[in-house]
Amino acid sequence: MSTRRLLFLEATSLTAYRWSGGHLHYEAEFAPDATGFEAFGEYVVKARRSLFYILADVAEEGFQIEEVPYVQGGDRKALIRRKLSQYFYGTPYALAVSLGRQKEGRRDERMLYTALTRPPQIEPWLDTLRQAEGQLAGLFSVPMVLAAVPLLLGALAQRYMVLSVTRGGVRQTLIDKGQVTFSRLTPLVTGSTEEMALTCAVEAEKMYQYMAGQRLIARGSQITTHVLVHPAQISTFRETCVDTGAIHFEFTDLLAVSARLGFKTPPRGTLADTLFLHVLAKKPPNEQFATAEDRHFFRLGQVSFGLRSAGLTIFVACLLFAGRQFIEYQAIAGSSADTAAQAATDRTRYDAILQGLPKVAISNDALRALVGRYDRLRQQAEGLEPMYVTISRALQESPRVELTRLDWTLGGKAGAAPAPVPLPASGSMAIPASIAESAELHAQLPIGLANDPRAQRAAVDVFVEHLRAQKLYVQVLKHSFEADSAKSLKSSADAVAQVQAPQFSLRIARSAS
Amino acid sequence: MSVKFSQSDFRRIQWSLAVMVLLALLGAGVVFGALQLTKAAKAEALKVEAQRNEIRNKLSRARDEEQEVRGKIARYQELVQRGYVTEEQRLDWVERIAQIKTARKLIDVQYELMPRKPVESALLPEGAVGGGYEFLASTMKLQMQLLHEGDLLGFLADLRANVRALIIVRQCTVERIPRAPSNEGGTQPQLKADCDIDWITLREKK
Repeated sequence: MSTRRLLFLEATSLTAYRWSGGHLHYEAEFAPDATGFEAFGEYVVKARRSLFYILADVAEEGFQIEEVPYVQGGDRKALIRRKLSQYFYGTPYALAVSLGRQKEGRRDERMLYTALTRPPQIEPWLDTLRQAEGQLAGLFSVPMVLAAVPLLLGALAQRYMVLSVTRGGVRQTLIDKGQVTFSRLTPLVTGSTEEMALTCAVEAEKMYQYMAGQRLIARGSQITTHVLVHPAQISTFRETCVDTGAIHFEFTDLLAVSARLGFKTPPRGTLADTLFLHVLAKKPPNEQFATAEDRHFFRLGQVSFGLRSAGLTIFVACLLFAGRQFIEYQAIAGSSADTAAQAATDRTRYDAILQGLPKVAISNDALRALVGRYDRLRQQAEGLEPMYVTISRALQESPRVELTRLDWTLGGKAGAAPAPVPLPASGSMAIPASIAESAELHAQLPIGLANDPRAQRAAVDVFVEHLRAQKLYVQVLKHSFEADSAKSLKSSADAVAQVQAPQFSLRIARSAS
Repeated sequence: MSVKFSQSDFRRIQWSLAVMVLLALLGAGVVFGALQLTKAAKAEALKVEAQRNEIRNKLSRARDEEQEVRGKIARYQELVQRGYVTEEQRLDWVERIAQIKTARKLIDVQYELMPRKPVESALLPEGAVGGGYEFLASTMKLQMQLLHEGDLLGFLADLRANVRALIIVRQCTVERIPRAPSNEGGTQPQLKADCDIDWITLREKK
């Protein structure tokens, strides 16, 4: 943060102080002449990075209170500008303070117009400051600073008067509901304690008469007047400032007030200049007199500060975000390391299991592929013996059946045989799509059955049933005697001459599963 | 009264502006770096977790897998020991057939061995090549005259036991020979067999 430099401006000089942590350090005093302005310029150049606060304590300060219709926006600005030029023509150091709206009627706004009415007294200092590119935070007056003090004075009344002594003289300020409504400065001739006390007593009475005349207070009422006095001089003030029917004096210990305000360089006498400067540095009033042109470098400083602050804020926010991400990263990395360690342990155990296997010059996957194929071939390498054995058993059960030809095939034999002869529903048994082996069986019956179709049929059926009992799928391809209604049937004219053994054929299969 | 912002004013704040931009860029860089770091860590975490899950699954299956691999190794060793992984030993095969014919006193054995080729997809739907080896088959057209079917079965059993090839019978027709009235004396064949047999060997595929 920039250093604060406080400039106390009065009619005869400008005194510069550096404020730091509640301490006020005297630095220089400049006279209002060419030499003084030049020295002041050099001083400002040296302290260009500081913020300058000017506290004016001059007699030429005007106050006007007026109730105006409540307006906003551009109209309000125009109204205030017109009123200020009307009351304080010729000075740029004027401002308006709202004292609040009336509670009745059309609720007009009560405005206080105030100004430093003698610009030549101020302008040379501000010009020098501007030329030296000093950052002027504001131009303030003692009454504006006093408005920040009332609660510290212990003033409970709505309306009261404050008497304070500065190098410029005795200042009488009327404060109404926490707002300064009028203030005037009476110069001192000798600056002695007795003169201060006497001036306070006399000027308080004059102030009362003036305020009553202006109807700022009701005539005949008593007003409390707080006098800021150093404890070493308070007895003199008590003797001089005696209560009347119009004024009741309250003497406030300047050192006690300084302590309560955190001022670590307390005044040595009744002069309250440094205390007001401390209050100004600690809590500058919202309003000030300087023009925008005078405060241009201050604004630039604010912009610079804002930019740097914004950059720093962005950077810190990014750092915080990155920090959070880094914490998350650490958590993930830690978790990954644990997972990797578990995986490594599991892999070691798995490798140990694999190490225990017999060594072969082939990978596990290749082994699976190779042995899978080998096993499939082995399943098909059983050959024709199992079916031969099965048919043999069936033949033993059917001694009248004589085998003439057997065509065995590994798997199926698509389309090689005629369409099967339909069997009775109870005996039908379709050959499945997936078969391991199949055979076409051609056989004949004893010639003695040649003229007995029923016996032929019975013999074939028995044989088929015996085969099926061996878990074979059987289809009759050709019967020895065709009794199918779909085919023609004719008698034999010369049966004896053409007698031969009845022949039939079957298809037999074994399922792959 | 407002004061205009001039070029010289800009020069007064340019360093502050530069500081702000620099800090913002620096902050953005830090954030970008942190995000990249976290992203990489997340990706790595996913990868490590996938590896852990994979090895964990393998481990949980390891006992079963161990049994399975042990069985397969035994099958592989059997395959090697039987001499299937070899170039065809046709001369040896011919000698073996002759020995079997003599030993079994077979009446007549005629055969024709076809050129070697990859095993047909009817036998190996998954393909003749697998596990770094190629399964090859030489088909033999065999014709025999038999006293009874036991001659054929015995011949095939002896083949399986004595040759260094996997024998798979693809097709076989056995038919009764009609009796000739003039040849009633002596040992006459009762059956004739006509078979297709695949002689399967393995060749390492490089």
